[in-house]
Amino acid sequence: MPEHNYKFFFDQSKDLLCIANSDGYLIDVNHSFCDVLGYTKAVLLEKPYISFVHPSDIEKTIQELERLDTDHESTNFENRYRTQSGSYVVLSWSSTRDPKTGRIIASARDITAYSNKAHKLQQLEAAMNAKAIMAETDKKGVISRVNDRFCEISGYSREEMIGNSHSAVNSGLHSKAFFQNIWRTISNKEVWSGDITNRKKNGDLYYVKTTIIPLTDLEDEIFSYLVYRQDITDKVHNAMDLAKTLQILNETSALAKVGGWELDVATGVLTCTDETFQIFEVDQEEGLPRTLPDGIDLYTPECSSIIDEAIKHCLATGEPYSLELMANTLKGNTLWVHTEGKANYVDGKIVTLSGTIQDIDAKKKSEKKYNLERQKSIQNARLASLGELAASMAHEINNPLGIISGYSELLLRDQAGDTRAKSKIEVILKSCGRISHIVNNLKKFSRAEREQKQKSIVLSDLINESIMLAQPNLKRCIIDLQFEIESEAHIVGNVIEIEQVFLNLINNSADAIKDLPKKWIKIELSVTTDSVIVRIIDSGDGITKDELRNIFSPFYTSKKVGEGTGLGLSIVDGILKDHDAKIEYDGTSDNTCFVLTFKRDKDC
Amino acid sequence: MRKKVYYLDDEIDLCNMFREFIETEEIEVSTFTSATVAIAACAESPPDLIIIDYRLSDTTGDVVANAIDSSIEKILVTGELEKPQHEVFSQVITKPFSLIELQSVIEKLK
Repeated sequence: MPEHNYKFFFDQSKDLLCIANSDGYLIDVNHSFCDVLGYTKAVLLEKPYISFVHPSDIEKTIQELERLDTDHESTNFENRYRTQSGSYVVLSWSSTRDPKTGRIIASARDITAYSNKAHKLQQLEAAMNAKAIMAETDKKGVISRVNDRFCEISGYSREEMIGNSHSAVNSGLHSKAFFQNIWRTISNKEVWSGDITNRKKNGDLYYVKTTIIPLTDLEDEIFSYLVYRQDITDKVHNAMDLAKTLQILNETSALAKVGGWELDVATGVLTCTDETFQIFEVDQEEGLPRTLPDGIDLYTPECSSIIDEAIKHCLATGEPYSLELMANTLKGNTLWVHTEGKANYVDGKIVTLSGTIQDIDAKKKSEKKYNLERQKSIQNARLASLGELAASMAHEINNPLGIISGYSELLLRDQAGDTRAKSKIEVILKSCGRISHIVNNLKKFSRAEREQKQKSIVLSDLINESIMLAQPNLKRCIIDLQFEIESEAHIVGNVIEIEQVFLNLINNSADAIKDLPKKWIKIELSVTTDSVIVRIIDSGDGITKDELRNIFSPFYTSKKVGEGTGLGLSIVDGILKDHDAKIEYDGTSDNTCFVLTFKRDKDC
Repeated sequence: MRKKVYYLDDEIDLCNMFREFIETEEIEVSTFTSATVAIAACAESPPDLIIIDYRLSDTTGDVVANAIDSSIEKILVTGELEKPQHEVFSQVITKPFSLIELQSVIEKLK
């Protein structure tokens, strides 16, 4: 081969080619050598080549040169050379030494990129070894390598594990199918990942997030499995604790009948706890109330506007609310709930509303019952003192009344022919009769009568008594009262209580219509096979829906302060319930109309 | 024979009224405002009938009735709301009573 051909080969080779003398200087380098290191040829030849070597690599380079002295050959020796920019490149050398001249002829390849990759892998493996639980098995699952972390967590030594399968750490808590699935996956050359419960040598359990990587050779045959595990025991324990706490919380809230809810302002999504669903009798499979309107629909029509208002106000102002409302469950039951809501802020903006729902139905109902009982006992105390007063008054009135009526009778007997005088005396006697009747009526308030709970009553008589007691009030207000008896029947009840009912209703009507231009009250008594029905109608033009909601509630009154106790209709309602009777408002009537239905006493 | 009727009431006006209305040629009326005097009179000169007011100034009608011979018929008058019930009386009449009605009761006496 002609000389210039060698020259061309030397100059144009992509490998770094050089010739060095025995003094440690380069005497020739090719273009690639200059290009890779970034120096001019002059610079490279000027200094001993060892001065370009990375300080950490100098020692091994000198050793390799010494070996070259004896062996004359060196291959795949790697060291780092400093480039002109100050960085280093990794060079892989093949060198020969001419024993005669002592010259070294060397070629090098820049393996920096490859070396970096290898270095990265090395670091990765080191890190994994240090931090993760590592094991490697052959393709049959026989352990060939475990790291310190494996030994630490399992409590087994390397000697106990290597050469065996993983059965030593098998907790026995996973099914055969579970492991079959793993083998199916990894023998298919797919990575498997999942949580496994293992058992330590001392019997304790530990939990590992496991990744099994099948490693294949150049023929794509599996030769090994790399098992990489992370200890998640603490996490699992925390999750267990959390689940337990949640369970306790759920049980507690079920006992207290308190549910929770949260409304996401941005999305409008409503999230509820189990107990909330329980309270509203929402079957969770049936579909949950997902948005605010769904939640609001769970209240009665009157209450849904109140809660709607409260939530809007809370959203606008951030003011919390606390309400007692009537809910309509999905199964159609009505119950009292206490609901609270408050705004939750992030960066000064309301992002969610959250609150509670508590079933207070039993409490509310007993509260109502208690209130009613209390009013009744107040009423009873009043009646008792009235009874005492009546007893002493009766005696004091009846004697003088007897004198008046007796002397009137005497006078009447003596007025032989004076008809004018006679008629006057008869008026006196009639008036005496009225007084006597009224006094006799007070008998109802006496202890014996009050304690005699139930007896058969002719309802029309009783209504007439009530009308008579209300008469002074009716006359004062100039109200016309008509009582129409369609047919007659007995009911069983307590005279004084039923009379109270009518007296209350008549007086209520009177109060309601006394300022109207037309003032009348009409009472209609009719009888069906089982019931006695009384309609009390007055010239008023009805009760508004808003008022209707409350009229039977204790202490509710539409009258001015000082004019009503707010107890009338609630007492009426209570007494009627005690008698198995009921009062209803007739919304279809043009005027204000209450309908009372009593059970008919069929024995009479 | 003239019937003898006693009337015991601490209200003197009622006593006078009773006598004036009831006393006739057939009926002799004596009135008393004192229970003691009435009891003594019944022992001394027994009437056919004694009408006794329940609430008296120092006692009650039933006590008086028990102190009087059982062969004498007794009627109680009372202004009480709750009528006292005592077997010793043949009738209980509430005040204010009608004299005419009372008269017919007395006339029915044997």
